[in-house]
Amino acid sequence: MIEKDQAIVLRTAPYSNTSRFVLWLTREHGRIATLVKGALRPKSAFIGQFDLFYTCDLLYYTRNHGGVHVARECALLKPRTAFRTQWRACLFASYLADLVSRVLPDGAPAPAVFDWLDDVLDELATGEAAAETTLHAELTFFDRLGWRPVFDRCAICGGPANQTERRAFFAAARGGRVCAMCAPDVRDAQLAPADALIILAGWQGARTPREAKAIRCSPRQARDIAQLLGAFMRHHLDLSPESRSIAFIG
Amino acid sequence: MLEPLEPLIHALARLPGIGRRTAERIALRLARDRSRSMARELTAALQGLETNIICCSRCGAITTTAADPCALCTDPRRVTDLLCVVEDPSDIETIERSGAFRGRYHALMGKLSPMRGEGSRHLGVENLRRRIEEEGFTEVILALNTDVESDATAAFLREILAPLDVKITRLATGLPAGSGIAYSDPVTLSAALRGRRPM
Repeated sequence: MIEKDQAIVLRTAPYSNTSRFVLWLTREHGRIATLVKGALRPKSAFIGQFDLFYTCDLLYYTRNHGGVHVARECALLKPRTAFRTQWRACLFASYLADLVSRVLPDGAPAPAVFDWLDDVLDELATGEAAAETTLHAELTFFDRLGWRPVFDRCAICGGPANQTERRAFFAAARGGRVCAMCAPDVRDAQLAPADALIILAGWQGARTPREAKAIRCSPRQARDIAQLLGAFMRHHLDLSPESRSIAFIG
Repeated sequence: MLEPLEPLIHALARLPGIGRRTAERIALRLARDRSRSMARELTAALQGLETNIICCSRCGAITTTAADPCALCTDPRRVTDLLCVVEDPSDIETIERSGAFRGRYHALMGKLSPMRGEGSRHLGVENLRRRIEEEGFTEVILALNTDVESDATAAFLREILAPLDVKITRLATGLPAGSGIAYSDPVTLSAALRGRRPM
């Protein structure tokens, strides 16, 4: 059977001298793997039509055994050539593609995640504030997966976050911010920079991406936010990808 | 049934291009050989590799322990002020076969690819910078592939090497020989237009 879908390239690997194995995130069929036969032959119709982080129109033959389909046609929609010159943005894009490929199961439709990744890659390709864009993207990704962390109130008692409070706590296992009253009873509650939690609450509360983008953070705050979201990811997704530390630290 | 072969299958399956099924076939073929000649040959070759074959301590090309630095680094007939930076030692072999370059080489042993666990620290940039300063190269040619990650790696190297007094160039990209404009993709065509030259 032939399927047609929009797809973003998450990963490529050599299969033979001229063929490539490609992992895609498709809009309607979720994460799929295809073989692109003869992709590197000089006269191949696939030459230049796919590479990492491209959005493409993909036509493929479905194969039920082994889970690897066979690409028939691929037409380039968005090449995002900025990643070729903005190497920092490219590192973050690589991490996010790795994150998606680790979290999503094969063949489970995830149109919301597809739209999310398409938008985030567009945003990263502008080359502006790549670290902030990635942190905000992580936050919205948790949302899409149904793991929305709580930053605007205490995750235990529900009491509102005190914006003037200097000592704030964060407990990954409890799902986010913990107030000073509840913190002594929570085993994994750790002191967290209050300004980082306020920025995270601001990003979550933003009604539009533009509104979220207006909330900026300093490099120190970005490091603190990366640490908090990293702890949340480790606990709830059981993930601590090396690609994340490479993207954020180098 | 294959349990006794499991360590061999596991080791073979870690090699590039060899999956579990292929590893099983190779292991079974070796096990079926009653004369054991195939296994002996393979063992001797692997032992030889372990004791005699290394990557050149200077450029990263494949060489023997007895010839380190390699012939490409020590040959006085080669041009000494041109350095060609490649991703992988196999690229050195490919460029050498073309006969178009007679300078020195440097293999990065990878590219910027967080999803494969390779960051800037894995590229040995300090080593490259030291070589450029100590060996007095006047031009560094970035002969990297043209995929997204390789282009990003080239951009990273350009930024890192910019403070050094050296000319940095990149291999030309554009239309393949024997092809036509109608068959080229937008990325290649725009690279070809940007890289046009007077004639």
